[in-house]
Amino acid sequence: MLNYIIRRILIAIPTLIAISMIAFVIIQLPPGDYLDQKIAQLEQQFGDSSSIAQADALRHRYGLDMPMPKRYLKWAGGFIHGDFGESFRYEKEVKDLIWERLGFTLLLSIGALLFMYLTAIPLGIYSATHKYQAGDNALTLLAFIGMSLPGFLIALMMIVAVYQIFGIPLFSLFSPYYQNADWSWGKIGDLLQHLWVPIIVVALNGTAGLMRVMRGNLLDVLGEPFIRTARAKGLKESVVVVKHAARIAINPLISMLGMSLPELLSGTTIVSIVLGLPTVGPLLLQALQDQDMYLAGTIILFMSLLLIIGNLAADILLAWADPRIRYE
Amino acid sequence: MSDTPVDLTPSGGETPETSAPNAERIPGEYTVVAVAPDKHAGEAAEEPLTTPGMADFEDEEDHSGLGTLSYRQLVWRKFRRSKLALIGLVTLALFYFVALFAEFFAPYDYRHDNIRLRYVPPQQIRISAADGWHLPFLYELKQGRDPESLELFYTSDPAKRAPVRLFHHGDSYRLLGLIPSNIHLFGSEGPLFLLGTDRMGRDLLSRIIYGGRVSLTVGLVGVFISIVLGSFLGTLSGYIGGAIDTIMQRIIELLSAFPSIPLWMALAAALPETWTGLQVYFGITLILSLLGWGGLARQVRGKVLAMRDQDYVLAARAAGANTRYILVRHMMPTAYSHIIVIATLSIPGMILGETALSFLGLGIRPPMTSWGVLLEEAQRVTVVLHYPWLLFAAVPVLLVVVAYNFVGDALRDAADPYAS
Amino acid sequence: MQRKYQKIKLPANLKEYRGEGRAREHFLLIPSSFCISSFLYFCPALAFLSILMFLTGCGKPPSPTSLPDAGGGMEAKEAPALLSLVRAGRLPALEQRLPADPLVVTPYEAPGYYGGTWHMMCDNPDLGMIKMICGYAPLIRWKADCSGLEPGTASKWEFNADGTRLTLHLRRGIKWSDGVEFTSADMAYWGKLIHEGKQLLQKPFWSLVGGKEMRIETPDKYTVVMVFAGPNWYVPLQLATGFWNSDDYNMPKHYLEQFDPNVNPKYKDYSTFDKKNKSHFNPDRPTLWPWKLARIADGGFRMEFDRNPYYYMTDNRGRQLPYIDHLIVSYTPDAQVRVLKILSGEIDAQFRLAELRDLGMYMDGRKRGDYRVLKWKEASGGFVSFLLNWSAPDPALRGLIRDLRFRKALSLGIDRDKCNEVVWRGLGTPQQATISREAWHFLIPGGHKVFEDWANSYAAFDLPRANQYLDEIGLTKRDSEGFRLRSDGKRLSLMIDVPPQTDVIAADNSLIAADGWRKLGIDVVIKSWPGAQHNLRQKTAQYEVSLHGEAEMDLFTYPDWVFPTSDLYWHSKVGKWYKTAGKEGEPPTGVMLELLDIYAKIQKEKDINKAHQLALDAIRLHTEKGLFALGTAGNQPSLVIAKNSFRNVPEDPRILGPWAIVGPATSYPESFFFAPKGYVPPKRPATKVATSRRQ
Repeated sequence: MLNYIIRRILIAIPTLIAISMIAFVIIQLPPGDYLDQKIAQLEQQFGDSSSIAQADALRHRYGLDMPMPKRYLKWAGGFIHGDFGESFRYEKEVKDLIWERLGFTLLLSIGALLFMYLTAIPLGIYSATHKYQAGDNALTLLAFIGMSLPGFLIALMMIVAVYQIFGIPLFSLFSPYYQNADWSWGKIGDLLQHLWVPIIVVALNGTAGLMRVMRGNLLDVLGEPFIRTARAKGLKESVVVVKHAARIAINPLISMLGMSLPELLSGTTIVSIVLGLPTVGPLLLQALQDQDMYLAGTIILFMSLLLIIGNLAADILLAWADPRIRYE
Repeated sequence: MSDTPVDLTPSGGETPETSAPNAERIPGEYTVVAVAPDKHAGEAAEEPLTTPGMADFEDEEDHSGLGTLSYRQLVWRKFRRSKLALIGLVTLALFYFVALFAEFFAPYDYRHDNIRLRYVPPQQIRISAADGWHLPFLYELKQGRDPESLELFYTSDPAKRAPVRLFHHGDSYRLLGLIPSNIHLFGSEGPLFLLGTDRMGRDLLSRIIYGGRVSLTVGLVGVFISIVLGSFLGTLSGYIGGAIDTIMQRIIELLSAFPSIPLWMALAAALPETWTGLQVYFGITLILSLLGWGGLARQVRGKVLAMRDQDYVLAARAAGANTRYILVRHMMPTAYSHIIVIATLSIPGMILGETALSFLGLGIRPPMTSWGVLLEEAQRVTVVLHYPWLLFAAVPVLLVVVAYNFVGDALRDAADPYAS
Repeated sequence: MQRKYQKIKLPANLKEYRGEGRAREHFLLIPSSFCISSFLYFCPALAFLSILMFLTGCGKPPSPTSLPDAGGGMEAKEAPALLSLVRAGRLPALEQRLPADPLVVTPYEAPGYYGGTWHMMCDNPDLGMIKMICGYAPLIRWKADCSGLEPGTASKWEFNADGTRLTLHLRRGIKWSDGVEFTSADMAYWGKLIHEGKQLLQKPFWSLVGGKEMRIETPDKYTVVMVFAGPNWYVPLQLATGFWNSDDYNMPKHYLEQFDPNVNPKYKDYSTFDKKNKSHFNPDRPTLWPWKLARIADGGFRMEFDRNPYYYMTDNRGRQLPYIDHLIVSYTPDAQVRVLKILSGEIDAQFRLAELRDLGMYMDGRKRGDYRVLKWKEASGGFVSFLLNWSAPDPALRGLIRDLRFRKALSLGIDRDKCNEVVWRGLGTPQQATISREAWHFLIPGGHKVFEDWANSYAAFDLPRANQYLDEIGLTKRDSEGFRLRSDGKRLSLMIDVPPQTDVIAADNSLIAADGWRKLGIDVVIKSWPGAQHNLRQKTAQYEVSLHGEAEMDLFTYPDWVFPTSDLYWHSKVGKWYKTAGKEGEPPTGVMLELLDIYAKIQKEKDINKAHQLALDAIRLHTEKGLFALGTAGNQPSLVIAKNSFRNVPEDPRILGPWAIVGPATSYPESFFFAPKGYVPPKRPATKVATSRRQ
């Protein structure tokens, strides 16, 4: 098992390097670079050429006049020191920028994950045990709608609806009152209040799908002979379903944790762009549009890293949960 | 769940034959021994043989004559049982039909703008007026402007009526790009805006119909590319094995380690701004299919690995068939059903992917329009509060994706008609 | 043990279920006890939902609109917060903090109250927009209506006889925000740095005459003399223009010297120096601004400014400005979030970023958000204007564009009412492309008429007349699709360069123009270019028709709209010729030559009124022989949103559009204040702000 983990980690490293190279190349595909945009902006403002001289000096300083392989090596070379370059637009270290937003990104993703699993599993169990009854049909319908409706479409509508009905503006992650304040119970409550629209929006697809999977799995397991034995033994139905059947049925869902991670990351990205949340998503979009290459490349790299870690964790979790699975 | 090209939506009751990249990690029949997750998928024989011709049924009553039906007919019979899937199929057929003949069905051209009729709310077709019943008609509109908020509002003018006609002569177009015509299914001399108009006075219904053309076909084309790439490469990789196989596996792993939305965003942002709308469209389909073929290839490879050492393959080789013949004639057909199911389930992911990209402003560019573009235009607080009819563009997206999910589900169930 | 079995209704066709999996059998054996407990499965979901509902319905945090501090009324000569610091001995007394002759501001409504925090938004981390409010501390200031100049940190200035020496007299005793005095030594330091050119700041282009640099002399602590290589009459205007100029030349020598490699051997180059010199990033850098950057928090999403205790302005009662204690700027890149923030009353006053297309929303939300909506002026003369490339790459097209009749036809083919309606909701004015109607050149007698003529020249939508012009030129042959053919037989087509598709205004205007020109028989292609390439094509004159928004108040500091003096807009090649003194580009002919002659005269002209006359002459040339840029609609309002308790914001429309004139800084935001409860704005005496005669 340990061998397996070490091997996965070792394979991950060249994977990440390859990803970083690909991402770097893609980001610079559009013609021009960040400073062209900056010049355009400066010229609009001042309309004279001293801005161009400034931009040239900046270009040299940032190494934008180097050929691409050199630029990549310059960037990649800094990884070992933990230096991921500087963002042009924000004029800050990339790692600082990401670090500041990391917390909320993870909070949103993990919150959505929790919501997904805690809601979908019991609903899936209910759906399976009441197959084709009214409740199940309703849930099935809701699930299909939930799986089909992309959350980001309704994100803005939900925010506006809440504002119209309750009068509470739920944009951003904190109300202005709590934004500067120190952490307190009030601030946490405020955060939760603002967090629920994004979480629901992000988790909508996943919850619906997960519910269907749980239902399917449980139905399969309930058809197994050993369940019949358990019933014949005289166990209560709830014990049979929850303690025996559901435990087995959940196993595949655990492995799906790994698969949910890309979904969640992508979903979080889009939703935070739409809602303007201070997470990594909007940062990425802006960086791609600006051709802020170090920032965008690092974000993509970082997201891939999260994915790989998540997949590894899911595999380990699965091996722990299901003793029949062995990794060589 | 519907963002990545491959999806996991099992219906109730059946083995969740997953099409997810980590399928091999999900124990199927609980007869699995040791499963190394990143190695050969499907080697632990999960599914029953589906070689056509082997009609092995446990069914008690045999008078249905099932044994004499072909594979396709069996699949169709099983598919037919699911009412939802049939409704879905009909819905999809309707959508595609309308999209194909968009110029005919849409009352206006999608670029037809009218400055005097911006932000018109959805109109009602009436059949009764103060003086009794009439053929369907609409009232003409008068534009007014609120002096304070400067918002436009419209009042119906009861005096002026414009009848709604079938096969109305309206904007001219070329049907399928070839036949010039100007007949529209319905229309009116006066304004006929069943779903209202947008910022430039363009009819929303027409734009949804034209936009459907782009949105619906992006998925198809993208999935087609995925299928071709994925099945071919997967079969190749599974059959030949060895170094090619390992390289392919590594590439697929690399692809699956990429988060989809950021990759799509990066690629879409890299599409040159100088490309025409059509070029951008194909660029987007390519981008969307890029991540999808990996999962399909892995699935196909798994199947091929299971089939590779079957007797009939051995027999074929003994009879002198070369690799290409075996690949095309024997290996790939076994995977067809699998491929089709996965493809059908990936299409909604592609449609939503295109919607998301256009929504972020990175996808289809004006003047071409798609549902994502329409939704992006509706993504304003002003719209949500003052012109909410523009949000209706989300409804077709929902309907199509739901329909595809139903159809794909039932298809997956039906694809193994021999299963008990 | 008895177990009750529920009566299950068997499905009509049991066979149907057979083939669908083994999971059927247990169906018949569900005991009833299960059904009662089934609702438990909904528990987590319901729990979540109820928690969320509860949290949503929870009490709102208190409203953030500030009230003035206690003790901040008319009796206070400085902010109570500062007064307590003075009493504690941590801050010098007011007399020592203010200069000997502070700049006195007459507030718009009334003297204000001290205290409060002003919340606002920006859309760029470099805080350009914010510097337009609080980053303007120049030697010389523009008047708010741009009718002239007024003193800033320099109390007076004069030229010598031939315009080569500009003497500026600084106010005595202005201090940087850390208490060190602002003297001519700071300006000398700046002069030295730009001369050496090793750090990022370059020599300002206005300091060069004939390519030769200026010299800065400092005869004493409060006098700065700029010595130019030739007459340079318009430097005072340049010193006042834009926050960026004053941001550059106000350098705190005492602070920056620590990072200067010439002074501090610890640093090898100027990279740290440049980082520390960034006023929008470095809270430690002393400034002359009314509010000083205190911290950047929340990962760059919130910038906080605290009052500058050494600020050099007072109100007309001798009370030190600014009234407001803090600024909190939230960086909000998402447009919809900005709208929502304003609607919910989180923003106290917002001068830019409130779009006209959301006007209806803002008007509806006034009561709930407790704010008022003011319409200031964008001062645009054509938003957007279509630039016709004087040096178009295609020779036949170039010949056509240089034919005045062709340009007249194109101009008559634009439906400006439609542009106004679609883009500005009818609030703008359909007009030909001009500079701002509020420009001070039009304030002299007769100037107004010159403007009117210019704005109305060929601004109608007259397709028959346009077609007539085109026929006159000889473009009478048409091809099979009805498009006109050029003299070389090719179809007459124009390509409009549009900036990236996110610019809705540009896209809409282009569509309308293309529509009209197609009716004239011209094939129009609209092509979208990324921002950088769009500008590059303009600079290198590769385009045929391009777009630009035109808003300019002063031709002396920015002549390029009217005079072909730089490689931009419609005169890229000729402007290049001018800039490189004839080495590259295309020599001017005809109208271009006349314009450049006029410009040369302006530069030598000492008398400002005569200079205005010359500018008007140039404009008359445009009216008669110009039409190089075709306008759509301009003069649209610019929205300003201010809370009802946020006072001293001018109600008469001030100019907000062009950044060079630094609105609203020229309307003295230092004098804005938060009114206490029950405050009634007094009947305002007519504050002498010279408005342009034209509305």
